[in-house]
Amino acid sequence: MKNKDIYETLYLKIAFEDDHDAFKELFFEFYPSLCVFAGRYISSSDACEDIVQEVFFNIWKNRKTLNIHSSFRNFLITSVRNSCTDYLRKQSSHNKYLENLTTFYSTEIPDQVYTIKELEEMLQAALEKLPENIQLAFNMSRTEKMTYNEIAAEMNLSVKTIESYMSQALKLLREELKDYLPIALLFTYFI
Amino acid sequence: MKTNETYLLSYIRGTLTSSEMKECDLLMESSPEFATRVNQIRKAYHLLDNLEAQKNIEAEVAWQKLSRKIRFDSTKKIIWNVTRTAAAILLPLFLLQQYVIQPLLDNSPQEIITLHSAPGIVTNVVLPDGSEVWLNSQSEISYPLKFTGKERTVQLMGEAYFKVVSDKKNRFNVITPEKTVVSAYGTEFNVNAYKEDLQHTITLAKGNIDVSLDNFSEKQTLKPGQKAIVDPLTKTLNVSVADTYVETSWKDGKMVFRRESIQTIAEKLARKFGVIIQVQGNVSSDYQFTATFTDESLEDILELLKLSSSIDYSITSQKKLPNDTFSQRTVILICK
Repeated sequence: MKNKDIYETLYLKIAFEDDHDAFKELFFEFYPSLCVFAGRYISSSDACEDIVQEVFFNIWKNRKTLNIHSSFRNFLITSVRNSCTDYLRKQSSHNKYLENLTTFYSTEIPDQVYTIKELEEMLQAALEKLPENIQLAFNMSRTEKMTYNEIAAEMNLSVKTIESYMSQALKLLREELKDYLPIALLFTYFI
Repeated sequence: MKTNETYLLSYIRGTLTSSEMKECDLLMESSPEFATRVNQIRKAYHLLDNLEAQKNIEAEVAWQKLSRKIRFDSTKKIIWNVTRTAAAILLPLFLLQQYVIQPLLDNSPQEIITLHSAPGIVTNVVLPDGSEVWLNSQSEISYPLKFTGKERTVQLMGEAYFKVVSDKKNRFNVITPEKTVVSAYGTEFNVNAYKEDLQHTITLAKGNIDVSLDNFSEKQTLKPGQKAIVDPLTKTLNVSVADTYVETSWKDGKMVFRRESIQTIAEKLARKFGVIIQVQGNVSSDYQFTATFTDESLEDILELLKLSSSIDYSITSQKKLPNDTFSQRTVILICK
């Protein structure tokens, strides 16, 4: 990933120069993606946000002594996952805890976290390969949550055409994005 | 069967009819190619959903919350550091005070309180341990502000009646300028040791006391109703039976004489009324007086003496001295 070095540099600034701005930048970069990531284990979105905030708080607090072996991104993922495990352990429901535990220990492929910026870039890169009107129809469907009928009316096209546009867009996306997310994870939390 | 991408998406979302769903389920198992297509769409759609979910998270609000927490934590850290530093400085000081300075202070001379009773006045004092002392006129007592150490020690010049609070662990000592020591744990006794008197009397009213002379060379234990007569010049100590009423009645404002010589009466009157009494004439007469006075004035007492015996008297009034003070009155007793 091309941003990799940027994050490591920012982290070094935090650790050695107490750079508050660098810390803020990393926080805004990773906070949303980590919250969504924590959501794989914990249903309460408030709990997820608290966990991620706590992870960042500890990074700032222990910035002088942290020992990051792999990448900063992997460190974040591991920290959040461990916090989620702890959270679930503390939850009163024992069965629920075991259930969740088996779920995410069965996934041996490393988890991946993409920031908003990265996802946007991926998506943009993929969609650019499509004709403009297909892109438009897809964005209407995705970002504005319009139905095919609404899009058809908006674009002065038949619903059949919109359906075919969407089909083409999805076909492209599935080809383009197929390497980004480990398949094993999908079955556990998607849908 | 149409299996374009939108159809597969509807299958993933579960929005197909139940028969179509079943058909697709079967295809998932029988056709690996179909399964791969479905999973690829799942991935793509998951990434899109992930993006949407991320956009819904309010990082700014969370950042404010985290910043507050960090600020609070660093303030807490500063306070803790200050406290720790303060403790690091104060603890040795405290230990120094507790184990070095305080013992030095304790050993150093204590603050001493000295009380003097004016002529004609009996002063009542409560000592730091709660013991009560009646201090006869023209007497002086010195005691520490606080009793420390094993013994409770007071210095006495003149006459005083002691009512000592019982404390078996800490002896109570009365020391006279002639180094007579009266020692007790909890009793009532009278010490009469005026410097100008030729003999000092220690009378025990209740309990037990030890009387010892200069550096404990001689020591006697008294029982209630006994008195020790000490001659400060010859350093002798005799124990005899006492009339405790006579010896201690002064503290109740009385003067009791039992077969006393005119000399003794003159001394006591002089002390009580703060006058100078000179005895003239036939001093060696062994005429003895017995009387009890309570609130009579000096003139009343002299008049009574005159009426009851062959004694006359005269009183010279006070004279103004050059330094604007007044001399004591002088009474002259003439024994015929």
